[in-house]
Amino acid sequence: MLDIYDLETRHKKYKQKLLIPYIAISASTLVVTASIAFFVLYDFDSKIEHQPQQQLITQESTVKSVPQIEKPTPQNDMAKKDDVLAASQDSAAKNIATPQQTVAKQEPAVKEDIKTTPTEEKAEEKVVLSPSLNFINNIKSQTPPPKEVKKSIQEAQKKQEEVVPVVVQEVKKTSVQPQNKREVVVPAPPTIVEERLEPVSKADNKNSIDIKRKNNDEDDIKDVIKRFNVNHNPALSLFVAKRYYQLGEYEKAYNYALTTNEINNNMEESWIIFSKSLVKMNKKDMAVETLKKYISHSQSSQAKQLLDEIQLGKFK
Amino acid sequence: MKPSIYENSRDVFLDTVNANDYIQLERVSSIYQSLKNSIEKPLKMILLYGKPGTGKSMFLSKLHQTLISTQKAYLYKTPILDESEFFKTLAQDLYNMKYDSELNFTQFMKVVENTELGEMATPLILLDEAQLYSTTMMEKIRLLSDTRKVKFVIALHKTEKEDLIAKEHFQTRIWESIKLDNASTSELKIYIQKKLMKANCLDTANMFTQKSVNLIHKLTNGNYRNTNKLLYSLFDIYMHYEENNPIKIKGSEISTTIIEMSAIHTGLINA
Repeated sequence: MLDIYDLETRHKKYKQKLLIPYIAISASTLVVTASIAFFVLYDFDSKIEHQPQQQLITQESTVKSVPQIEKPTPQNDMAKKDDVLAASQDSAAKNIATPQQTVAKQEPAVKEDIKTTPTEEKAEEKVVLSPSLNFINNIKSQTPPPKEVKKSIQEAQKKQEEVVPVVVQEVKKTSVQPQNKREVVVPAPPTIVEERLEPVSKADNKNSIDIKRKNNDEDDIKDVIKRFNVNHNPALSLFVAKRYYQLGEYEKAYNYALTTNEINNNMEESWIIFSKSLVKMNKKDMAVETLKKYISHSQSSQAKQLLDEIQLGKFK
Repeated sequence: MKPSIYENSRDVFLDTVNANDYIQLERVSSIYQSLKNSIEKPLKMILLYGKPGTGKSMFLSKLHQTLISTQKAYLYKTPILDESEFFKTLAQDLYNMKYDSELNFTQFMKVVENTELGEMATPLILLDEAQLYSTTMMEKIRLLSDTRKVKFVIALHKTEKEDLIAKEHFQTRIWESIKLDNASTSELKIYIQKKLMKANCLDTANMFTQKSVNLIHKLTNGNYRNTNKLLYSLFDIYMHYEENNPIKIKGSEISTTIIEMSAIHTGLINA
């Protein structure tokens, strides 16, 4: 007796069994074709191009930590009140240098990775260009005008304190910016950074030098005069005379040169300063007579030369 | 109620050995002719061998039906395994000698040797399923054939290896051996169509295209018995659909699905 229903069911299973090898072959063919297409068509260069990015990011993390470690250094230097400007400049210079150095130290490792493929060299070129421009703009915008620095010493000191952190921040930014853009890690050429920082440091240097001279001159002259009043050393009075002559205070220079001459009339420089001061005070004749007297008993060539210059009108 | 064409077609393929159902195929008919020629020759024994279902029994039946009108020919479809019974049967058929008591080989040999054939043709004994006879019995049959007073046509099927052994065994005794093989695709198509047309099932005979016959040949390997079984089952399914779901047998060709279902049903497909 035929059981048609059972027979139909078994037949369906049989047909499904028959399809299995075809499905398996089709699936395997599809997989093989897809894998071949993947290996043939897939651009491995693009994938390799991403690898340096990841490596750069890892490098960034190390670079990132470097400024933080260096951070206390300027603060310690700032604490030294004796030489605030010099210290701040030095510290600023150090801070500028340190990130560059650290970045420079990172460069070889990054370059080694980058050199593996030509596409990575392209990435290197990109790195050089983009970050430095932002850095320059930041430097320019945050650089204080030199006029404000010249107002007073204390203001200048404050400015220096403000400027130094700015420089440090700028340095940090240079190292931090790369995190946002991968190019950042590839350090901007050191020359660029130095050029951008130089204006700040030059302004500071000018201010500091002027202030220092005024301080030094007045303090020094006062100190020297005090010491001269105590020991009447002609060298000290001669020093004071020279200083006042350099400062354009010719009467004081004349007096101290005369005082020196009274203590020791064989000091050639006292005679020279004395004569030059007379000329500056429009007492050219008196200066000529004084030089002639000195030349007569000393035969000083320097005095002779000065005499000729005064007589010829070269020294006024 | 008039039986359907599918029922008639189904019954054609009932697995029976009937000489009237014998299908004369080109290759088989040539073999048949060569066998007839061999019988006319003074050969002692003729071996007919082949795998099961290759038509040996049908071949013997047809041969017996053909020869019985012209000469003494006896067909033993089932082997007579008892020796005494075998010789008593032969004595009864060949010489009309009835033995109630035991008849051993020596006694029967004396009977055979003392019998004069005269103008009569040598009687022919057709033994089907001869592989069931013992070796001793086969040797005694050979000795009987050596008397030239009786001829034997032995049909047997064995495995390929045993066939070879059997063939060699009989060849040493200068016996004729004829091998029967499975049908080819074209032979199978002729076989099916001839069989159906013989039963006036022309419609179903025309339903067998080359494609469907190829599938049947693939499933049955051209074996006649398996083909008969498959087609019997096939028309059985057709009958079922004709009664219950005629849409499924709407086509003018034999459905591949139903062929496969038949193969599953007959065990030709393991599903």
